[in-house]
This record gives sequence, C-alpha cells and structure tokens, in this order.
Amino acid sequence: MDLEKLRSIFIDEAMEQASVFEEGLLQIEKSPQDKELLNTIFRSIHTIKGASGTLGFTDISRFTHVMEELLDLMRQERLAVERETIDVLLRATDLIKEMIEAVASGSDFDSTKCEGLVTEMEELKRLQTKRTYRVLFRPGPDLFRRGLDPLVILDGLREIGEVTMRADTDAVPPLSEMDPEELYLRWEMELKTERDPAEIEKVFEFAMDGGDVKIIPVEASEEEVPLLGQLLVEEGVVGPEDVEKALKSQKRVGEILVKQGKVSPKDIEKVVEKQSQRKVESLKKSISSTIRVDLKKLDHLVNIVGEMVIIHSMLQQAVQGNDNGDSERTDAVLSQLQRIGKDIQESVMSLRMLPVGEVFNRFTRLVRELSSSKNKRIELVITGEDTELDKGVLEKITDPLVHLIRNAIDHGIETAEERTSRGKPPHGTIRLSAYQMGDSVFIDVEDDGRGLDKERILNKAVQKGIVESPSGLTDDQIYNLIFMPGFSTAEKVTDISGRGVGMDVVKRNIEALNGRVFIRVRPGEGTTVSIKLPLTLAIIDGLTVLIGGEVFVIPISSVIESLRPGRENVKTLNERDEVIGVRGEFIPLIRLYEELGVTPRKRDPWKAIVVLVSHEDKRCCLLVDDLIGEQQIVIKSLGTALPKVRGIGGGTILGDGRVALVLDVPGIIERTMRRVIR
Amino acid sequence: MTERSLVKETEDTTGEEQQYVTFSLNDEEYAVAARNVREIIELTNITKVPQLTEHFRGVINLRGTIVPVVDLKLKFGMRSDGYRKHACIIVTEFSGGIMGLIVDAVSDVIQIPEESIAAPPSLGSRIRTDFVRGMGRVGGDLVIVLDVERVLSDDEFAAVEEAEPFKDT
Repeated sequence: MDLEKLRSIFIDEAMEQASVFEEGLLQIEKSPQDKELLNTIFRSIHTIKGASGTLGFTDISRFTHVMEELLDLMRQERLAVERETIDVLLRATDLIKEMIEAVASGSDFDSTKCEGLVTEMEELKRLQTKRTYRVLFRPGPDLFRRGLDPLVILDGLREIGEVTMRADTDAVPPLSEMDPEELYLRWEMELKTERDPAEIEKVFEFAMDGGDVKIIPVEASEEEVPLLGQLLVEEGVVGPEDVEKALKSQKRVGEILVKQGKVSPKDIEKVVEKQSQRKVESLKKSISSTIRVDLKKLDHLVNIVGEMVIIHSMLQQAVQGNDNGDSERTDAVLSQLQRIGKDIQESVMSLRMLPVGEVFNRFTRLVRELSSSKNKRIELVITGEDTELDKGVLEKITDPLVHLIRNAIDHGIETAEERTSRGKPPHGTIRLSAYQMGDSVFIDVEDDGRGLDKERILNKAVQKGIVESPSGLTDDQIYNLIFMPGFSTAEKVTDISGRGVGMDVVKRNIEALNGRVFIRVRPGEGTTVSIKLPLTLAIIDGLTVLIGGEVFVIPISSVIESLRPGRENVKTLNERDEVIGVRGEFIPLIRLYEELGVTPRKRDPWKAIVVLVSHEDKRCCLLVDDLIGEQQIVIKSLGTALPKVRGIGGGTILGDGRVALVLDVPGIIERTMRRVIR
Repeated sequence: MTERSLVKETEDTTGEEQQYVTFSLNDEEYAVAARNVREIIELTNITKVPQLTEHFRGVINLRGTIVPVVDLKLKFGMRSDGYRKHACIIVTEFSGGIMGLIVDAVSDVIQIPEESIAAPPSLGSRIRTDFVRGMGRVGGDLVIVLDVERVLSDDEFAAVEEAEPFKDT
C-alpha cells in the first residue's frame, strides 16, 4: 500500500474518530459517571494518536498525547469530568480537526497554535490531579516527649485531602510493660490529594526525627483492593510459593456448591455455557458492525442496478414481441425477476442512506456554545436521529439547519428574565426532530421562544420594498415574507445571525434539493420551521414531454399545470414577447424549441400543449409538442466531456434504455425574464 | 482494475511498443492508443443534444452512465453518408472525461513500435496535423495515429464557444 493511500485512510479515520471524540465529550458532560463512554472517548483519541504517530504527523501525535493524558486522568478519576475540562478538550478537538484538514489539503499547520491549549491542558493536569498515596507513618517512640501530638499531624493530613487511616497496634506491649510516655502506634493511611509528595511530607516535618514516613504513590490499577495472597507475601507472613500452593488447592465456586449438594454438575455446565456465550457476544459487540465503503463504489453499484432494471424492461418488451405459446410461464418468471430487481434496487439505494443523527449530534455543541455566548440557557432536544436520509441530501441540509438553529437561539428564544416574566421556564428549548412520512422526510426545528413579530416583519417588508402595502396579507403570507431575498429582521447585526443573508438562502438550498420549507408561528409561544425533503436526492418525479421528436423531462416539482390554451388567449406584447392568458393572468410564453434550438412538430400553442412552471415567484408557460406522462427518474450528468448546454440540466435513462434530457427550468425562466425586462 | 489509464502517452512510452486500436473512416485507416480505449460497443440509440456543433451526435447510455458521442468523420470534415453496417462506438477516456467516437468499423488491435511512427506530414493530410501523432507503418500499410487527448480537448473548447451564442449582458 502506498503512502498516499495510507494518508487518505488516515484522514478519513482520524476525522471520524475526532467526531466520535467530540460527541462523546458532549455526552459525558451529561453523564460523567459513564465509564464505558469515557473509555470510548479515550480510545478514539488514542487511535488518532497512534495513527498519526505511525504516519509521522508528529504535531498531531504530540498534541493528542497531552489530551490522552488528561483523559487518562479522568478515567482514573483523578481528574473530575467538569465543564472547564470539557471546554478545553472541545477546543482541542477543533484544533485536531484543523490539523487533519491541513494534512488533507497538504498545507502547513502552524504548530504554535497548539501551544496555548497545551499549556492549558498541562495546567489542568497539574492543578486537578488527585492522586492516591499510601502513607506509612512510623513516628519515633519519643514523639510525646518532644511535645508533639500525632493527632494534630493526622488532622493536618485531613486538611490536604481525603484520608482513610488504620492504626497499627501490633507494637503495643502488654499494659504492664508499657511506658505511657512512649508512642507505640503506627499508622497506615490512604490519602487522596492534589498535592505532590513534597507537600505531604511537610505535614510530617517535625515528626521525621527518629521516625519514618513513607509516601508511596498508588497507581490506579493498584487502587483496587490487592489480592489476599499478594498482601500476605508483601507483609512477609508467607512466601509466594505458599500462596501458589494454596491457590491450586482452592476450588471454584461451582465445585464447592456441587459438593454441598446445592446444585447439580449439569446446572453448572449450563450456566458455564451461558457465561461463555455472553463473553462471545460482548466480544462481538466490541467489533464494529459497519464497514467503510468508498462512495464511488456505491454509486457504481447504483448505476449497475439501475441498468439491470432497464434491461429487464427491455427483455420484457422483447419477449412480448415473440409469442411462443408458453407466455404464461415467461410472464411469471419475468414478474419474479422484476420483483427481485426492485428489491435489489431498493436495498442498494438504502446503502446511501445515513441516519440524520450524524448531523444532528453536531448541533449539541453549536447550541451549547452559542447559547452561552448569548447568555441564554437553551437545551437542545433531539428526536428521530435514526431517521435516514440520502447521504447527498444530508450533506446539503447541514448548513440550512445551522442557520435555523442560530436563528432560534438569536431571535427566537428570549433571555431568562424575559422568559420568567412571561411565566415560561427560564431555560429555552429547541427541539430538532426528524421523521418520515410517505416518500418524504420531515425535519422540524421548533423553539419555545417568542414567535415571529408580524408587525415588524410587515414594516420591514414595506420598508425594503418587498411588499407595496401592509394590508391584505394573511398571517401565513406575512410569515413567509422572511423567506424573501434581502430580508432580515434582526435589529442589530450580531455575530450569530442578521447578516441579511438569511432565510432566503435556507429556502433556496432546500428547494435545490427538491424540498420545501414551511413555517408555523404560535405568537408568544414559539416558532416551528419544517423542512420537507425527498427520501433520495437522485430520484425525482418527472413529466416527460415531446419536443421535435425527442423526449425531454421537466421536474414535476416546478410544474403547476399543463393546458392547451385557446387561440384567443395567446397575445403578443411589443410585437415580440408572447404571453398566455390563464384565468385572467398573463404569463410569459417560452417556445422551448427556440430556446433549445430544435425543430418542433407544432408551432401554434393552441394546437400544442403548454406546461405552466414556476421558479420562486416567477411563472412561465413552456411550449411543448405533446405530453407523454409522469415517471420517476434518476438525474445524471451528461458527462464532463460535453459542454454545458443552455436549458438542459442533465440527463436520465428512460425505461427503454434511451437517454432523455432533463430541462433546467430555473435557468430557462431566469434567462427569459432577463430578456423580457431588457 | 487498470482501465483508468489516461496519461500523456507521448512522454512515458518512448522505446516501448504500444498497443493501438485501428479503425476505418471511409477508406482510411486510423489508430488510437489502446490505453485510451475503454471499450468498443455497437452503434446504439443516440439522443440528440441541441445547440452543439454538428459532429457532436448526442449522448448514449453506457450501462447507466451517460456518455457523449462524436462522429469522427464529421469532426475531421470528411464525407459522411450515414452510418455503415459495421459502424461502432469506441469509448475513449481522456483528461476531460469519457467520450464515444463513432467510426465506420474497428479493424484490429495491433502493436506499433515507437520507431515505426514517423512524424506527421505537413501537407496532404485532410485532418488537422495537430490531431495526428504520426504515421504508423504496419506491414506495408500506413495508419494515421491520432492523439486522442488533442482531438477531444480541442472539441471541449470549440464546443463551449459554440454552445453560448446567447450573450446576455
């Protein structure tokens, strides 16, 4: 394997691990006791460290090493899982991502950027590190005579950490031999403290003479109670060989129980089997149940399967042509083949589907940071993260969602005081939910803020010349004004939103995915923005039409209706531009054959068909020869080697295996409008 | 999978024998480097794409991928009276993507040693000399060795200009 390949694998994996790490951090803040989660987080940073080390990205490996140390301390419970620590680690994650991106783009990363965070992390490590020490305190027998009280010393220890102690009375002689002025006691203590050994020693400063203080750091793994045998050997009571012998003669719990007649050997066997099964299962769980596949390979598979479906329909046509008497059986086999073909196609398409949680979970962090920067308390509640969307759709939905969430934080949710005065809970809630309904996936961004201000929207719209007069609009129409280009109600421009490129961009991006945006306002109680998306990006509904003997496809999402106008409804403006009267409204006519440069079969609109299409708020009539029908199509590129063709957005493969061209309706309308205005 | 092999063949193959796919256009024999050829398919349904220069015949469906096709005879300004019985499409790859070349018939796959390819004649050839890598001697016959990269890249630019007659300023 060459280095380039390794590098790209590294980039993929490291990015993924960094996301796992980030998500884990956000979760661990909510459940600091979750040991397993902490381990996952640790593993992900460890993986990045290991991989970057192997490939010689020393900046990354050095930096992740510091993070790893910090996490290791958290794992050992020597460092508390606290907001500040997590903040630092989150910022460190950003830096790691930056470094990985630098590797990806081959640019240089300024490693001095790390220094600040490294110092902060080292500081955290130093300050908050709680270690456990075993302190053995054997004061000299003359301690009392020197005017010292061991209790004071021990209290001093309590001041610097948590102590559990045990007094060793072994050396206390029988009462008759005891000298009351002599100290016979020894102490063994476990001390949990942030101080270092030198500071602990200071507590014993005056007791050192004639006595002995040992401060032994305890490693985390040793913190568990040592095995009995080990202790005995340590104390010199028995030798290691004795312990071993004893261990060998020791019986297992099962055996003892059998001997006591409480269970039968068969029961034990069964349970043991179950136990081993569980071990296997837990092992299986630790091995990931997913594999990583290059998207290109998937797309290739999608193509091949699509082709197979087409060939099936060709086969069907061919077979129907020559009736050889056994058509019933052929039909049965064919329909079986069709069913399997459809199954394969569906499952292949589902391979491109990803749970929306991949994107949603990123927003936890966004909300966390933006809300604290705005001094608002906002909780993000995510539901339906298992809902699946096409990878292509999912990628393009991220930015619009960020925008909607930012809007909710910035404009929607009020400050805590304002909320309390309105009788709402002081912390706001943003609900991000995804669900599937029919062929569409809905994503709702719902806040419990103040809702939209109708008056202000209207005033703004009039002021910006978006509407002429404030009267005569329904509430819905008013709310939808915020999707108009150049509209922004924020009274002051903040770093979060209100830059004037707002909801119109959101709307455009969603519409580019053949989706739609809806807004619901409950005045004083909140706003919900719903995004409706098609399940897959690649498949759309198309209206097939004929122009000059060739089949063209118009995406249904832009079609309003199709009609054959009466001769009297076709008018000319300025002896040049044609319009068609549709229910009292005059709509520009585009002769598609002219636009495309083909020879039509029909030139008179009243003999042909016009398809009324819209793009944003502009409407046009497209003149076509004839309608064929509706069908689902997969839009494909016409190939990079072909120059861009005016009015054509791509191609698709029809059921008979031929290629049909898909019309670029927005492009056609916009070009015509410009021409008309000129 | 070594089918992706679009490299500038002029540079790294000196001294080596190279494989060529030979084909005919009217009565002349042409050759393209086999490394540029992805596959050869029968002439199939071609969907016309409006606005393009005449030699761009349209697009075809190559197992689910849409591939544009060029009629080489029209491209080279040769006489073209419909497609012949053995006409086929040579699907070629070049730096700009994939393109199908419509030819009258594919003849053979042969080796032409680099030293048997002579410089293109400066006169007398019907097609532009910059499309020609050289004249290859195969036995007693001469084949015109094409530089696929140049032939197709030329199209890219020519066609772009062609496709935008509509200037909206």
